[in-house]
Amino acid sequence: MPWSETHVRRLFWRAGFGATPTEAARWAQAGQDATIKHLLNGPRAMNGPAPMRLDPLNEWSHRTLWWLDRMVRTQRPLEEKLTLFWHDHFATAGQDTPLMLAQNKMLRARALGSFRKLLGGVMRDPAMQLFLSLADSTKDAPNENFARELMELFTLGGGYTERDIREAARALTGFDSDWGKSGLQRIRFDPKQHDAGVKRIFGKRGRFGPDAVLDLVVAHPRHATFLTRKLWDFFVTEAPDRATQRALVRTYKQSGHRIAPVVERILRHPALYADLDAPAMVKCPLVYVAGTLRTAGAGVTVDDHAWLLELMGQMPFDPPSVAGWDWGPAWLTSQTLHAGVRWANAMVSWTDQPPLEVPDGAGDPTLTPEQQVERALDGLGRPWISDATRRVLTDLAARYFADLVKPWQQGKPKQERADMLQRALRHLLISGPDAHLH
Amino acid sequence: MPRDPFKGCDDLRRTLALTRRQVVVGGLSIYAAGTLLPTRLLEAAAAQAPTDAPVLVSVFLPGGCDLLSTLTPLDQAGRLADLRRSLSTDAPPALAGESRLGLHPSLSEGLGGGVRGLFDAGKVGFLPGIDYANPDLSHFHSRHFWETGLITERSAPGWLGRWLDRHGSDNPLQGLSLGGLSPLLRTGAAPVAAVDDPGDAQLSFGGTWGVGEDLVRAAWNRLADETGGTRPGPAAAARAARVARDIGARLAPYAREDNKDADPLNNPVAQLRAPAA
Repeated sequence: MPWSETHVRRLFWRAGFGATPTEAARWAQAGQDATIKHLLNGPRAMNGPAPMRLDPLNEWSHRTLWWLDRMVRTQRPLEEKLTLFWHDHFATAGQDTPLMLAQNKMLRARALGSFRKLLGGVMRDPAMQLFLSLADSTKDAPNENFARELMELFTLGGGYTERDIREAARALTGFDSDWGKSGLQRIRFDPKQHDAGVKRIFGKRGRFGPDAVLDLVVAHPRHATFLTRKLWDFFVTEAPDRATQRALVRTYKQSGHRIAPVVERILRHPALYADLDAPAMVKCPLVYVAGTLRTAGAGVTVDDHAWLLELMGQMPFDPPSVAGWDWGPAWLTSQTLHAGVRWANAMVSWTDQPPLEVPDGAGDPTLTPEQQVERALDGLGRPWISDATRRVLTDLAARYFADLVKPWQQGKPKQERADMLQRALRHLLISGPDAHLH
Repeated sequence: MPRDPFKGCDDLRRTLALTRRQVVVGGLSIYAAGTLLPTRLLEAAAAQAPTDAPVLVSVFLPGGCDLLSTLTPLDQAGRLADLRRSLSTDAPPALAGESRLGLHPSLSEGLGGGVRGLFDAGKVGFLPGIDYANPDLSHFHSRHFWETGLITERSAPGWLGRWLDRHGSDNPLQGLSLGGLSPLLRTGAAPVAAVDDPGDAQLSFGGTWGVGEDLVRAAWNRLADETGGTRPGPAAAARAARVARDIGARLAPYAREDNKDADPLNNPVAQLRAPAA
């Protein structure tokens, strides 16, 4: 497969949060194989501009900024991206921040390993236990919430009956929540509250307990297709052909239900690199914001990201329901674009030192329109733009000084306008329609 | 040629000979999620509608209330009490003129007899017994069917959005959603608006001003018109940009100047009481 900086940029956007020019050059040189190995096994480190002081446990919205900072600086962007995938897949909301941060850590640690192990972590995760009422579901009053979403949203999507759900809910009973002054102390399993009787799930009979239910859903014939398809759709816009779908299922099963081999196969697939000059996948707001900062070499230095992400429709740790967010073109409402314009304002002009600052005097009125556009692209880490956008921006630069014709307008007014032009071009590059695609 | 914004309503009335009372969906529909409706947004929306066009306000309360204890089928109240022993055993009083249904007592509380008072005054109606065949008890399926008005698991425009696709106009404020786009209002082609604050709906370009800002706004408008194409992602991005631009232009009269206007949400209780005084 041919391999160029454009390929690296596509891969880093889809598998992470974009590539800086340095990363694009380095990994284009290294080749596809080395690049994908790096994404899968790179060093666990944070690198890049330091964030503002963050106190995710105590300051409102700082948990959002804390995760955003990880997305901007992590040297394992694929792991962070998969953590976001699992947060959407195992969507949990309305729980205390310490519990949500603990869940986030667990999802990250298990993001690319065995799905069964991840599922076990999710089942015992305190935030999930409380969210889907698995905690304190007892043999006398089994709660079906977790059993239902386990099959419908987490593992199968179909191919089970109401009776399977009821019987699984019985098998999942016995988790107790212990509460103290500062909130939930722990989740523990109390055999006295567990229904130890015989259950019948997917046509099999046995004295199934919680872990046996997870074994059963992962072994269900619908599971491998369901999960590999959802992973594929996270990275690629076009549907997989039948051979690809079969290969993904085979890889998943033969690896013992491991996530990394499936993801690796997707990252190597030519479909991920389709239409390199005209990307069609919609960025979710977190990827839009984190990726713009990361590729431009900027850090999380202002707190406006948090409320603007909420306006764009994606507050991490607070998905709209257990089904997660609606992905794809559904992200792009007029409100998202409008919030993008406001966010771009924050990036180029709000506060004394905006993240993408163009200081007074930094513009150059002597550049050609084409050079002005190139300079703005350089300032942002060279994001992709369509031919149409390049045309509009070049026209803007060409007309930007047209009204400044008087001799007294040639000095300071022209310099001010040149500064303004660089802010404007950067603004349009991160707020325009192209910026929402990767 | 642009259509008359609210011709759809007239078409519907004429062709189906419906009275206005029967037309539930009007020229404007507003959806609010988790937010109090700012009075200015209502003002702005009302100003977009001809004086006689009805306005439908849809408020969705996720996980709001349990149907059977809200609106209890009285002929099965005993069986309900058996099945749900933790709930009150007293059958609620029947609705006036409707002996089969009882309304939960807490809905009779409040100003003017609460929801029951509004029902008695003919201002509230109920649609009980909404269901589909062979329900699988999935929350998401039920909600999706309700939002789309279709028994399908596939993605589809909402029932309100489909109505606007057939009868709507090119005015994005014909379907106004507050706090994220409601799935009800998702359309195939008709523009609809998701707005969080009508006083701040205009597009502004920070760090630029005067002629410089006018030129940038013109360029942003061109980006909305000249990018896009037929593939779903790029088409959605350009479309959303065009709608954002159009909403900004239409709501320009309501633009808020900092520190000049009173906060519309300030002391809403006093505003509610004002007409009675």
